[in-house]
Amino acid sequence: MLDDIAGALWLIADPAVLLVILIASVFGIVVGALPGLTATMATALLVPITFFMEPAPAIAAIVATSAMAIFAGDISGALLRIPGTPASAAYVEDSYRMTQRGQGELALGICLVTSAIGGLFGAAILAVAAPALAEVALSFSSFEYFWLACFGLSCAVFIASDAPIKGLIALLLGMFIATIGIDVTAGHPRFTFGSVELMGGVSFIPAMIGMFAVGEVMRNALAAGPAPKLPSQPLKHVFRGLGSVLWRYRLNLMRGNVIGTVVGILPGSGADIAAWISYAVAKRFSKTPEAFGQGGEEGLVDAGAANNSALGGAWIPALVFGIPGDSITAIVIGVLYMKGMNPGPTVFLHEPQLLYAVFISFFLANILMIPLGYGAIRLARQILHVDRAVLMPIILLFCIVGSFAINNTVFGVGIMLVMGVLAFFMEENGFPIAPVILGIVLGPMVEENFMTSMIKADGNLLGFFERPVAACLGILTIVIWAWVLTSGLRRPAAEAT
Amino acid sequence: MPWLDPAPWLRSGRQLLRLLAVPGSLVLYILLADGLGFILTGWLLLMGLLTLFRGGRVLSSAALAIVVTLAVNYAFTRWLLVPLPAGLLQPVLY
Repeated sequence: MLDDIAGALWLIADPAVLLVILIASVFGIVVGALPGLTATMATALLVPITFFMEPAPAIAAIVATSAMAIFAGDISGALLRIPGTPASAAYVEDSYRMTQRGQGELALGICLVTSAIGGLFGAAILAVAAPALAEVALSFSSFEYFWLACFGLSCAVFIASDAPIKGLIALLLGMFIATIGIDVTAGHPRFTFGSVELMGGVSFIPAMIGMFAVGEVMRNALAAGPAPKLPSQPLKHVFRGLGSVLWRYRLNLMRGNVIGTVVGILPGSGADIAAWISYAVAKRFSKTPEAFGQGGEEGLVDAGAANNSALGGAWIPALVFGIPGDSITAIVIGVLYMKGMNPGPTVFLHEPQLLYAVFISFFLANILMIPLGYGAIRLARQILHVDRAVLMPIILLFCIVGSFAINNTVFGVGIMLVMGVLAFFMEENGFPIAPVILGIVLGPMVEENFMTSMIKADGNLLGFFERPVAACLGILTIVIWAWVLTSGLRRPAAEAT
Repeated sequence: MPWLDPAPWLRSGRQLLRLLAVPGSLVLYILLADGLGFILTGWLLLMGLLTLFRGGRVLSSAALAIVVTLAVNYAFTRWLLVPLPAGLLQPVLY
């Protein structure tokens, strides 16, 4: 194991890799700070470039970009009252009011330091829990994986979304898209309409760029207007008075870390949901709940730590089981599959160095966050001054090249176009788009494990409950389904009493 | 409940035009890229979108578009070795 850690350090300590991490961090900060550009979009735009890199720098770049983008979302939240990424939305009211009171430096300082601490905590849990869980996962067979995938998808739709029906429709749409192409077991083409290019299936990267980047560009095309006015107070002494605030709310900080990591581990719920939940918990247990939403520092500490620790948490199921914890890790899993590395416990056996490289890049990125974040706060005015009317067409050109580059055909641009328009109309009508990506990534996994299991069990459906772990997971999943199905029946009765 | 509940942007000609320009330019790219090549198509699309989004200023848009397109072209063909179509500029580029 020490050899592997040393090997991983060697992989990361390469000056070229360090440079990649630095550039990716700056990219993440800029994209995260700009309203309308999300952390997921930053990852999506990065993927075509990481596609041409070695696995270690590719993953390190994605880790650094997403961590920085989630923090940087707080900058425009505090200065403009517009969250830079959805993960900052929970406490934007508090941080903005602090700025109005002239405490903008303190608000941003809290966001920066709690983000870094949360990120480090999530990374530590990831480094401890993932190898331990992988030992367990090694004994899993196709039965367990089938149920795990079903369980993950059910969580994503029913627990993590506020409109379960819309989430379910989005998920099924994604799983349908995953069925296009050659059937994995029987080798029969499905839904290809004779198109040779569709035989290989809908390419993941163009689909993802379409959903997360082109859809957002379309939404921004509607919203583009004059740049919002920035408050004119100085942003210099970011760390002044920070120590006493953090010490006063040290328990909040710890609670935010734990809630964030746990929510991150749950499949389908990422940084934004972690921030909302920990903000709500902080308000519930606070001695001064009336300060929440009025510029209180307490919620900022909790939720600021939670959204960054969720990032590390999300990588746990992704690395151990190949089941993404949020939309960013869904993209990562898609990338790993394209590189011929199937995420799952076997990666821990065959390429432990790469895993330690992931852990190290997490720690490195969150330590790097303090100086880079400080610089970003000092330069916030310049960053937020970037004209989105100029940026959007350039992003679109980048999307075109990115989706072309994967297979070197214009067909990829076509896929991106269809998925982008689809994502735009889904978002306009309140459908979440993350379940679509989860469906595309996990659809083949559900199908393959189902077919393999059916062949092994000779068509006996009870085979899915014969192994103890599979039976537990199966029952848990069915309980979730039953609970959702009967919730409509229970609600009127509960209201009557 | 009405079958269609139009969003505000459906009634605003300017906004609708800017919205449709995004998928429209992708369609144009798919149709033109192989014939014209990446540099010419990308330049035209970028110039059009920039002019539309910034509300005028054609010349500065054209200048910015050519710089960005050439930079993207250079990065992807030289560093990442993506064979972007050369199209009409084939004899000039190689």
